[in-house]
Amino acid sequence: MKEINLFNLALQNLRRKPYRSMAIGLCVAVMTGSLFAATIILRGVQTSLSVGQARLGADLVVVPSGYEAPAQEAFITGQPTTFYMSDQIEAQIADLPGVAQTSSQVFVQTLTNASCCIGEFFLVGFNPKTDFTISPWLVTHLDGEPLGPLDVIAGDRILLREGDGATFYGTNFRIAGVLERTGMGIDRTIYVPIDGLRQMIADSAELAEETLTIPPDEISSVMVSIAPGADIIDVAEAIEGSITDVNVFTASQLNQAVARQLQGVMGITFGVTATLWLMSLLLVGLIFSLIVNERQRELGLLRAMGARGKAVFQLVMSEAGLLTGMGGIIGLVVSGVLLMSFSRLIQLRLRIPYLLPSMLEIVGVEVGLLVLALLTGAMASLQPALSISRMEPYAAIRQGE
Amino acid sequence: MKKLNVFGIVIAVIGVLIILTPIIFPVCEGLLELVNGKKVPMRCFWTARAEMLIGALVLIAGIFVAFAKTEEARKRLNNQIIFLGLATILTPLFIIPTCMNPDMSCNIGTKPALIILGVVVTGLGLYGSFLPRPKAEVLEE
Repeated sequence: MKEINLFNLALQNLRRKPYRSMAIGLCVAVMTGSLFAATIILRGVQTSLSVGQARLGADLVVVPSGYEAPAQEAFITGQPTTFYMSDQIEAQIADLPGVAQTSSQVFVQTLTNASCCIGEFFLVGFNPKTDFTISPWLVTHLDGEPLGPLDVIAGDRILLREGDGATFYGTNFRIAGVLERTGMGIDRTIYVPIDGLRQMIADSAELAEETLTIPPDEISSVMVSIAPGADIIDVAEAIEGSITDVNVFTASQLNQAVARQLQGVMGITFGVTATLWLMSLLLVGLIFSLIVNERQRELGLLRAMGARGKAVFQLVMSEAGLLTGMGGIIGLVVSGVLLMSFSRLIQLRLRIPYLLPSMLEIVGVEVGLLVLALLTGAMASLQPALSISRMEPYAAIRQGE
Repeated sequence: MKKLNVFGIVIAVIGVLIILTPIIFPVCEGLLELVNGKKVPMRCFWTARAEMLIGALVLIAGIFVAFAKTEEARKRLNNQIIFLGLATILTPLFIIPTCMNPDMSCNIGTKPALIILGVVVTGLGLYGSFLPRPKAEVLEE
């Protein structure tokens, strides 16, 4: 026979009404689970943005006028886009005060299902001599070897590894390095040295199914690093003021673009979750006051047999704690499994950058939400538990009959 | 009066979910062109077909569990359900693997959904086979 203690007694009481217990547990599980998912997605986006922003390396990005939004989309999600401007613009930017370093990039048409790799990815030409944005973030280091014109660098989501060969528009390239994962568009991009890219464009008429028509004196964007002490906004305004038909955006504007994208979805999610929490609180409170009323006689008899008011209070609170605690754990586990399994689907559907936060942070959120679930149970059952524990045993037995 | 086993009904519902998974989370729609010019579906198409068949078997096994009269019959059916659950998990991973690119729709939706359902089916099968069934959980027809 099991020892009779507070925990066993509370567990037995919950087992007596399995469907009612399941309903309360499920309500708390849904509340905790959805709050966990919303928090982790939001933190995942923030983690990805801070990593991506650091790896972008540039303080400012200059693109042709009117292409600010597609360029930001390309950096955030890797959605391929093409636009061109004169390569003279890079020299004009480099001459401006406050500019420390510049490096140009050329965006090439979308490649879908190339012979090397299935799926859609973005081909970008960069200048290895002036580049300060891509090379520092190679997972596999180049051991000081300079990049050859046909040595390319691949993003993490492209199924190519160092040393692999790949053919784009009929030209054979070698994968010289793979970039670290960022959760942003960089992961779906292949960076080709500008000399190799120009060679590929020239040979595409003869070797490729589709001819590339990008004039050799045109570029798509200029990455700008500003000098120490210079103000980012001042330099951006100077560029837009002195060079016609260009737009400038800062790395922090990428964050704003993502924030705009997320605002609607996350607002609704947090609104629904807050409503769920309020409903859980009211539901648990209502059910526990019904339970206490229904069991007045039983609890009165407990008191008559010698149980103190404190013990009855603890019993009701333990039942609420057990229910909301178990519901919270189930919600966190189910939500965690679904989030881990479908994170890529969520990322692609919402078109957001996403990188799983650190394990320490995830555990922290889980502990916080479990405490919230337990607090919900405690807050909701406090009044019924107090009222029954203060009632005289005789009155409780008579009223419960 | 017949007694309907709730446990069997749950398994049957999961069987239906396995059948519906490739409809809710569709596999890749594109066709691959062979050297001879013939167009064939991607291999995840066959993964989906196989999973729909396994789902149908889970559904039938669940119905049998729901109507099984003896404990022995239930245990034997649950042993089969364990294998069907494992088949649900292993099919997209090893038996008929989904496409190579991790970003394709078969890998981001269909595969994780099938693995989760497979784990649930296997867990329920193990529970039915090795743990005592709760006596109270029966619905009277």
